[in-house]
Amino acid sequence: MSELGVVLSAIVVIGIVGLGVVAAVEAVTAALGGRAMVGALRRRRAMHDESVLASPLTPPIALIVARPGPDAVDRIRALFSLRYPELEVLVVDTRGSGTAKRLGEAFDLVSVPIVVPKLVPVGVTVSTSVVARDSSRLLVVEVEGDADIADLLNVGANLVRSRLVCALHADLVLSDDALLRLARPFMDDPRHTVASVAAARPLSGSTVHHGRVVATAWPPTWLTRMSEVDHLRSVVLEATLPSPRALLRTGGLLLMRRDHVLELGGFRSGWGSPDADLFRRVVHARLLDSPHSTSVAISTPICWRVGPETASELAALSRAEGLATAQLIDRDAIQGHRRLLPRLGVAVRTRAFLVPLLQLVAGLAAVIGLAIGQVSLALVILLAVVAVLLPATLSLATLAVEELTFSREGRFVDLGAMVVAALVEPIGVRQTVAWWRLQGILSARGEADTPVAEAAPPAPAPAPKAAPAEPAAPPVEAADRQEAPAPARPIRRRRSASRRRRTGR
Amino acid sequence: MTVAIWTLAVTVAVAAGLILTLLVARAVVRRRERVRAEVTARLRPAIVRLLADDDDVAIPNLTRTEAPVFEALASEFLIKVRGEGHDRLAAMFVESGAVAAAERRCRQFGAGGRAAAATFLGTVGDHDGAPAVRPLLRDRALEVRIAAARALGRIGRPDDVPALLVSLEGDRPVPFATVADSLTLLGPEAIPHLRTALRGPNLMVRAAAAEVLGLLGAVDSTEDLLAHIHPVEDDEVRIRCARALGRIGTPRAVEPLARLVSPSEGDAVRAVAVRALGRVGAAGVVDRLSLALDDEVHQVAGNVAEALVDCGAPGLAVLRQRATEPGRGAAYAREALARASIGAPDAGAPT
Repeated sequence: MSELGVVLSAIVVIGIVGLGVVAAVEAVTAALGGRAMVGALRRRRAMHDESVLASPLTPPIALIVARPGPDAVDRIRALFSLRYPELEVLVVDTRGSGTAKRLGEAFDLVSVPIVVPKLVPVGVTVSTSVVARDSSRLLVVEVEGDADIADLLNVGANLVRSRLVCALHADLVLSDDALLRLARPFMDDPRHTVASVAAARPLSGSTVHHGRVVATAWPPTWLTRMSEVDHLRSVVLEATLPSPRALLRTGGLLLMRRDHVLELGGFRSGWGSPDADLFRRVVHARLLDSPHSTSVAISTPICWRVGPETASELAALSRAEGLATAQLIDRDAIQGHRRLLPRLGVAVRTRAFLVPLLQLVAGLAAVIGLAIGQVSLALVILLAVVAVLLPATLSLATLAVEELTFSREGRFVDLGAMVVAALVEPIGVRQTVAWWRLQGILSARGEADTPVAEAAPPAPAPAPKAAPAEPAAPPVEAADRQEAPAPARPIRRRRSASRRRRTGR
Repeated sequence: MTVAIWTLAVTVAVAAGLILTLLVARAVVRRRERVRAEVTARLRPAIVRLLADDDDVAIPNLTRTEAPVFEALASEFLIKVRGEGHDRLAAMFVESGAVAAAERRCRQFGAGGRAAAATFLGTVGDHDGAPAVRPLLRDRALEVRIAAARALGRIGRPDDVPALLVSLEGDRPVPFATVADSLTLLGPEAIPHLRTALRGPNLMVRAAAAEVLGLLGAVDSTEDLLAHIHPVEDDEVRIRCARALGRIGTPRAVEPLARLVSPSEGDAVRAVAVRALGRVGAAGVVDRLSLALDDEVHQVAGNVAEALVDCGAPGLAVLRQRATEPGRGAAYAREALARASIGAPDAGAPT
C-alpha cells in the first residue's frame, strides 16, 4: 500500500470511529427518549385529569403571546378553548401593528387604564391597553417604539398576575390538554419544580383550522418529509431530559414560575430564543440554590408547529437555530461556567463542525481510495454503515415512536414515503442542514454580547379597516410605585448541580 | 471484510425490522381504533339505557379485546353521572367481577396497571375497594400514589382522612393539591379529622387541613384557623389559614386578618390577607383596606383594590374617592373601577 493509501485509509478509519461514537450516543439517547414517550402515553391513558379542571387549587397560568400575527383572532380563540380552569391571556404587540383593533372587534374589548409595574426593566412604554368585556380574561396591550420580542415578553411578565407563566410562540398549535400536562409537575411538586418544557412536534401536511388540528397527515412533499424526519429525531433525542435545546431545535412550550422569571430580570434582548435563554438561567440559578430543584420534560405530544416548506425556509431556520445555540453556549460560559468549561463554546462549534466535516472528508477519501484501489472495501462498507445506515436506522426508530405515540391518519403509501425519506435523508440532506446550522453558529462568533436579529420574526400584520369600540385610554405607568427589579441570584457552587427528571405526563 | 459484511447485514436487518415494526404498529393501531369504535357504537346505547333505569338491559358477553374498551367507556359515564344511574352502573361492575379484578390489578407489577386499577376503583366508588387502594398511597411510582389518593377521595370514606393526610409526609409524598382535592371530596364528615390535624406536628399536614377547612366552609373551625395565623406559625400555614378564613367569611376573622396587613408581615401574607378581608366584607373592612391601598408592593395594592370591589357599594365609594385624590393608590383605584364598570374580572387569581 502506498503512502497515499495509508493516509486515505487513516482518514476513513477516523471517520468510522468518530461517526460511530456519535451514532452510538444518539442511539442510546433515542432509545431512552422513545421509552419515555411510550411510557408517558401509557400513564396518560391510565389517569384521568378531570379532577384538576374542577380543583380550586389548580395554579392559574398566564399565556403571554407576543406578536400574534395576522391570524391573531383564531389563535386567541383557540387558546380560550383549551381545557384549563384558570387561564389568563395577555397579547403584546407594538403600536401600529393593528393587533388591538383586530382583537377588539372579535372579543369586544374596551380600554382600561391599567397599572403597569416595572418589576423587570423594559425599554418601552405601554400605549394601549384593552380588556375583554366578557369573562374571557383577555388583556391586549400595545407598546410604543421599536420593541423586540424580549421587550414585549417582559411587558407581559410585568402585567400578568398568575403564578405560572408561559411565553407562547404565535405559530404553535396546542392540544386540548396541553396546559394540564404542562402544569402537572407544578401541582405534583410545587416546591421543587422550576420549569416544565415540551418539544414541539412537526405538523406539515396536517390541517389546522382556527388554531386547532382537525386532520392529521404525513407531509406531502419530499423536502417537508425529510425536514420532518430531522425534526422528529430531535424530538425523540430531547425527550429524555429537559433542555433548552428542545426549545431551540423544535420551538416548544416552556412553563415557569413568574417569581423566578422576575427574580432573574425577565427575558433578555438580543436572543434568537429568549425563552431558551431564560430557561437555562432559571434552572441554573435554582439548582445552585437548591439541589432538589427539578425541571421536567413533558414526553407526551402536546404541541405542534408547521415546519419549513421550502429549501430557503429550511436554510433560514437552520441558520437561526445554529445562531441561537451558539449564543446560548457563549452567554452561559460568560455567566460563570467559563472556569469549569473554558472552551465550551469552542467544543460545541467543533462538534457541529466536526460531524459534517468527517462525513465529507471521510466520504471523499473512501471514494477516491476505492477508485484507485488504495482503500479496502471493508473500510468503505463500515463507513457507509456508520455514516448512512445507522442514522437512517435511528430515523426509522423515531418514526416508529411517532406512530406509536401519535398515530396520524393517511394511507400506508404516505407512511412508506416517510420511510423512504428517512433512508435517503442521511445522504446529502443532513449534511446540507448541518452546513446551514454551522453557518449560523459561525455567524455568532464574537457577537456574544451584541444583540442580533430575532430568529424568525413574523410578518407584520395588515391593519384592519374597522375601528375598535372605544378609543384607547392611556395606561398608568407605575415605575415610581413599584419595587426595584430583583437582582439575579448570585451563582454559588454546590456539589449537586444537575438533577432533572423525565416524566410521563 | 467479514466484520464489515456482518456489520452491514446486522444494520440492514435492524432497519428492515424497524420498517416491519412500523407497518405492524400502524396496522395494530388501526385495528385497535376500529375495535374501539365498533364496541363503543354497540354498547353505548345499552349503557345509556342502563343509566335511564331500563331493567331489560343486558350487556353481552365480551371478548378479551372488547372488555377493556367497554370498561373504559363505562368509566367515562361513571365519572360524569351521579345518583341512581351511577349506582346501577357501579353495581353492574361489582356483579360482573370487574371490581374484584381491579383490586387484584392493584398488586400487579406495572405501575401503569396499578394506576389504572386505582383509578377504576375510584370511579366505581365502591367502599369495599378502599382497602385495596390505600396501600398504593405509599407506592414507589408517583402516578400510582396520585391515582390512589384521587380514588380514595371519590370512594368517599371519611375513615381515609388520616391515611390521606399522612400520605403528605415521608420520602414518597402524594402531591399537596391531590390530597387537598380528595379531602374536599370527602365533605363535611372529614372536618373533625381535619381540625385534629391542624394541631399536628407536620407542616404540610397542617397546611392541607387549613386549606380544606376553608374549601369546605367549616365555620366551626374558625377558632382553630385563627390560632394558626399567629406569627409563630410557618408562613405556608398562615397563608392558607388566612385564605380559609376569607372563604368561610366570618366577621370574627376581620380583626386578626387586619393585623396581617401590617408592614411587618411578608408580602405574600399581606397580599392574601387583604383578599381574605375583601371576601369577608363585613363592617369595618373597607376602612382598613382603604389604608392599605397605598401599599408600596404592587401585588398588595392591586389586591386591595380588588378586595374593595368585592366589598360592594361601600368599597366602590372608597375607590371613587381615592381615584381623584393624589397618592399611590389612585392608579389602582382607577383600574379597579374601570374593570368593575365593564364587568370584567380582574386578571389573574390571587396568589
